[in-house]
Amino acid sequence: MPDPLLDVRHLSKHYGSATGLLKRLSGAKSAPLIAVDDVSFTIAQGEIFSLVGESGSGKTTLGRSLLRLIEPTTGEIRFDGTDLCTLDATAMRAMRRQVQMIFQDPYSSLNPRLTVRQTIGEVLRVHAIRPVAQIDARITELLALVGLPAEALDRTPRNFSGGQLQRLGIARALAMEPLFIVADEPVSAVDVSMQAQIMNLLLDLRSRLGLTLLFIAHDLSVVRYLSDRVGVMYMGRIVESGTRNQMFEVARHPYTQALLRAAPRPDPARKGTEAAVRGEPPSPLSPPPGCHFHTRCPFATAICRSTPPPPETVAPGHVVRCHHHAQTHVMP
Amino acid sequence: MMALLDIRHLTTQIPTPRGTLTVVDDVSFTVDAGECFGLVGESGSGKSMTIKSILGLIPPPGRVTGGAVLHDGQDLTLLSPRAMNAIRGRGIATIVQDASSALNPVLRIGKQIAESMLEHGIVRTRAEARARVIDLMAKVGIPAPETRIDDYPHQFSGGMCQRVVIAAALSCNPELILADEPTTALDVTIQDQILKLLLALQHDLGLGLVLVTHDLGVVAQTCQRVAVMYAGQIVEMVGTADLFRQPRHPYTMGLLNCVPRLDGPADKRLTPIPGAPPDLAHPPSGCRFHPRCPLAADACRSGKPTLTEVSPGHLSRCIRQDALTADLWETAVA
Repeated sequence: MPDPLLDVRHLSKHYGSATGLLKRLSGAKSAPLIAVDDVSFTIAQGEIFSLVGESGSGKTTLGRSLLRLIEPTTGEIRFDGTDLCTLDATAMRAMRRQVQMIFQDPYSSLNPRLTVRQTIGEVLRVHAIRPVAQIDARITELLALVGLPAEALDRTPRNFSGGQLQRLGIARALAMEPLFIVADEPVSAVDVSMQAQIMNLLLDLRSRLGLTLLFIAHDLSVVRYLSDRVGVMYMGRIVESGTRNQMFEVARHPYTQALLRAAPRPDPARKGTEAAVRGEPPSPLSPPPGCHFHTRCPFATAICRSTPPPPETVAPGHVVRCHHHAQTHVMP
Repeated sequence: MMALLDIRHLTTQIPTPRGTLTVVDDVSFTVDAGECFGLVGESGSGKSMTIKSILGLIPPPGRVTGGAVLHDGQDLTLLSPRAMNAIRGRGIATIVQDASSALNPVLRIGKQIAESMLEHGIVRTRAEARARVIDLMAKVGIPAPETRIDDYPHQFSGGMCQRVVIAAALSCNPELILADEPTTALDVTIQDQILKLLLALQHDLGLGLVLVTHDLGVVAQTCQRVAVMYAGQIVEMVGTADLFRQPRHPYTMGLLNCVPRLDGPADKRLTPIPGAPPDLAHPPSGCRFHPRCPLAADACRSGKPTLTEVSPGHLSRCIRQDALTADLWETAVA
């Protein structure tokens, strides 16, 4: 098997472990907020790996720390053989040509006063990706690639629909000719009739340009449509990961199962009255000991309350962090 | 039997520097007691504006320019602001999308739930109000209501804030609740809990419920009847099962086709609806959907289609609905 393009090992991000002035004076120390907790995963060249989880699960923090837009606290991010965490600012800047990001909100991720020509031209110029004389031609090429008309060149963001703006955000990321893109909820702010346009575009770009994607989402049906492999996050940890089929057909973690049951489906025959999972996610400032999900889990026993479950491989490529993964296929 | 809410030809316009926008265009529907009616559409389709029009909450200079909202024997569009105040919260309650910002951050939860009860004279004394608030909080599933009643909104999670808003909506025993995207801001497991709670309450109390949503999955699992809105108009209205089994409008079919699903084949390519919804300042001539419609003919560009009964209880605003086929969108894009 070839080396993965991205190999993340034991990555963690803690917030607030450095104490403030008042705290130092009073001698009090607060526990850090652990946004990303010892996360490891790999993404192969040309693969789409999705991270799914609810708000506060750490998926966005994780995505941003891969580009070091947020500095990870510990761990390794091996990209194409290089550990990104060891790079200095200059080397990281050069590396960003290969690692790009698409943001959730296309409105606020684009400068409202710049035209398309200026927005994308800036990228091409600053990174000297094309000689100045070829910049306009390249922008037109990029617009065509994402399905925007050449007339869009001199328009500002307010003249585009949400779906078109997201195409523009994608074009800007592609301008760098990256190997790898982190797409953070790229279709969540786009209306349903245009969501499919963006998702098809991402799939097309993957096959045409051989892109590798980390796709961050909360919507399981979108994830099922786009992904080769999926990781489910809960309170900073990846609690289950596997191929699309493993995750959607034979999910073993009770949280993954709850997410699947809770997702509304356009099928009127499937009306339930029981909620899929009880309770709410606990505060990330004081996560429950042991398995973070035990407070809501129908399978929880004493060991879940005391010991964090280790990752266990239940099938090739299918990893679950649950003490009771052997029983979870039968709902109580 | 008289419907709980009977909306007839409701039209709302907003004058802007770019021209007058007809944000609600000739909308008619009824809601019966004990019924959950869904209004589904994308952003800008007019579903929230319809709710605001019913409640008389269209911000000026926008206003309801035509039609009637009949409730309890009166036309709400003709009432004075004072008379309307007596109805809002009492006969008709609302649940908004963003519960955390609907609550006043500097008032205790209990006070906010009690406010409309005291205002409408449902309870006389503070002690009586407190007892009833605790009761309501328990009913909507807030743990330890006796202590949490004195908490502030920031001490509640998003899901718990939405439960507080639901408790406040129920406080005056309304007959009808208008819920505008009540779960859109919530995580999927919490959304599931809140929807099930709303349905249980609606069932137990025999309430009429209008549920505004952009999510066809939410509609499928909650509503008995549904209206699909596009560019200010209802384009299709029917019982929920039939909407999913036999849609009779190209837009509805397009929507059903383009949403990714958890059931069905995983590798089937989605069929997007091309283009984007129209700018209401310059709506297309004729049928508002024609620029994106694979069936569009000359008649669609000139004539204005009306909402017509295509089978008993099934309305569609499409003059070519006879030509609809199940594979309309697949063949159109291929």
